Amino acid sequence: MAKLRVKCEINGKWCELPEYISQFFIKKSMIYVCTMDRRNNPFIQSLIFVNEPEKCSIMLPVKKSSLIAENLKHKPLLTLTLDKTHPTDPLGNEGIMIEATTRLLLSQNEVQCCYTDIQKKYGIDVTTKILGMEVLSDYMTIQATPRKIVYWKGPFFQKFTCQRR
Amino acid sequence: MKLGAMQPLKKYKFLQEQVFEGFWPFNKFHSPTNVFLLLFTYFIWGLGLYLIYKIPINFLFAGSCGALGLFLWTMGIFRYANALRNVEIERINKVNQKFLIGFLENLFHPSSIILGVFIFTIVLTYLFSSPSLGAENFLTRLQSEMNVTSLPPLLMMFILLLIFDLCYRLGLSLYLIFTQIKRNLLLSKYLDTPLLKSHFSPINIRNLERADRYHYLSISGGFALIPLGLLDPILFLVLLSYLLITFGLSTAVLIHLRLMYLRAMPDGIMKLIRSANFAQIGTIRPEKVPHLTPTLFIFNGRNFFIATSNKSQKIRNLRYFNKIAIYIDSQNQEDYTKSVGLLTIGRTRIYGYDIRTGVIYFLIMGFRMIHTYFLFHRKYPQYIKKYWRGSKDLPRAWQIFPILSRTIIEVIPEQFYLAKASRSDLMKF
Repeated sequence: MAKLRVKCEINGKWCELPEYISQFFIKKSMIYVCTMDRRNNPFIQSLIFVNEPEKCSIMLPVKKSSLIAENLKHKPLLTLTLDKTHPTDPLGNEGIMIEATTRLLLSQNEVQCCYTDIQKKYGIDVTTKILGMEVLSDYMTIQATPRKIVYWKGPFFQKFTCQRR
Repeated sequence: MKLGAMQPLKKYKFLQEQVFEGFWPFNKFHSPTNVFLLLFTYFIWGLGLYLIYKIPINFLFAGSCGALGLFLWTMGIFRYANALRNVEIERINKVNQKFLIGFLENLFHPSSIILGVFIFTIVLTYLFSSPSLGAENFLTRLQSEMNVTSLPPLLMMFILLLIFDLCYRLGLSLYLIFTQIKRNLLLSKYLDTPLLKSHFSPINIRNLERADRYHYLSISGGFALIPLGLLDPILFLVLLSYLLITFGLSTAVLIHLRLMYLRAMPDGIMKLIRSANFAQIGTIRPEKVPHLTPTLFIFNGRNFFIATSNKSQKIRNLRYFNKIAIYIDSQNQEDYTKSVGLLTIGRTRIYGYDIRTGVIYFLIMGFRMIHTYFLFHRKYPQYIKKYWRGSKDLPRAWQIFPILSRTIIEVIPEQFYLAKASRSDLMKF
């Protein structure tokens, strides 16, 4: 296993994430998001994202009218997955699953800030294509704060929970 | 015609349901209680006649079978009508609404009784004109066994009512099958037209198929009438031919609907399902937290299948909340603006939680389990090879010992959503 390198703070707790985990946030451009609706149906989507490494949080821009926004208003919990699959070797598959609590950021400043970060990460053209030409007021930002991270490589799992300083 | 408002204003009902609503004590109960009451009435009435007129026991048995067949048939038809009435028509698009209302108008049309009356007339003609046909019929045989020249009026009334009820159902079933065939041909025509195809969701077609299955089962109630035929060889042959024909036609209707389910899938979606190797599987933990993992999957043209350890978190979750989400996407990392995804939400069927339930499932669904294994083998040959080769180095949960350590999850789709370019708003289809 690689050395522990990246440190971040989650709800007053201190997390030290190894590089092989933090690399997923850097290398992957889309994240799978699972929420649940009022009838306890799971709901998955693939979204673009930006993360704040020092705070360990992940920001996701979503439309206010989308089902994912509706689900999170009802139950502010989500699970995220970032993975790297191997086409022929099952032992070569690796990924992380993050259980997170969420906060919905509705103010124009917060949305604008996330939009600017998205533009930096993906470029203006791609951002426009994905988020469309709608006005920013149609959007909100989901701030997801991890409470548990599970890493897997093939059949082997490793769980990370954050410690008090 | 105000399409959207049609369903809440107009109550679609079969004649039998209207009769039940108009007669005491049937109007005091809802289905299925009123159908049980009908069966009970026939049994009590028949038993009373048996005791009063000393009817031969074989005729009592035949009458009981007739009443039972009538009961099963009515149950099936009432469930069928209910399933169709419960379609939330307001949610369906205009083209689909027009199609569905057209079908319901035909199905519940008053002319549905005509075939039943026609069959009743033929049966009466046969019963009262033979033995001039050369054979003893049901009625003449009953007369000779009771040693009477004419049957008592109360017994005659019972027999005629039972025969009318049966003939009405025979005619109604035939009428329903013809209406279903007409509906299928129209639907097939719509699916051939690209502009109209997009208005028909595979899920709507599957719901129609689910409703049709009730009618299919109701026809099986007809087999309870077979002992009736043993008292009259001509009636027996006619009844058997009728059952075989209706079963054949109903099976064809269901198979046709199944094929149309696949045809209603947008072309791009089928390509996506075929080309994708991994799917993200979402379930809900017992403590109501979502759980998401990537996994291998196969699609058999109807449902999705996942193979997993029978001790996996997915299985534990599904025992609490039997709902699952599968997300399949093109994983276009070079240009994510062209990325397309399919979200399927459905219920699951788990083929065994441990060795005991696994063996029971294998005895019931063995063929499907073996077929699923071969589909996995065909789609992921290298994976399966690696699993077999490295079997002893893998944790037990990963070792490929079907039933012992692995199980199959069948996902029955209930909703489909299309995602484009990682946008947060999805399109339901």
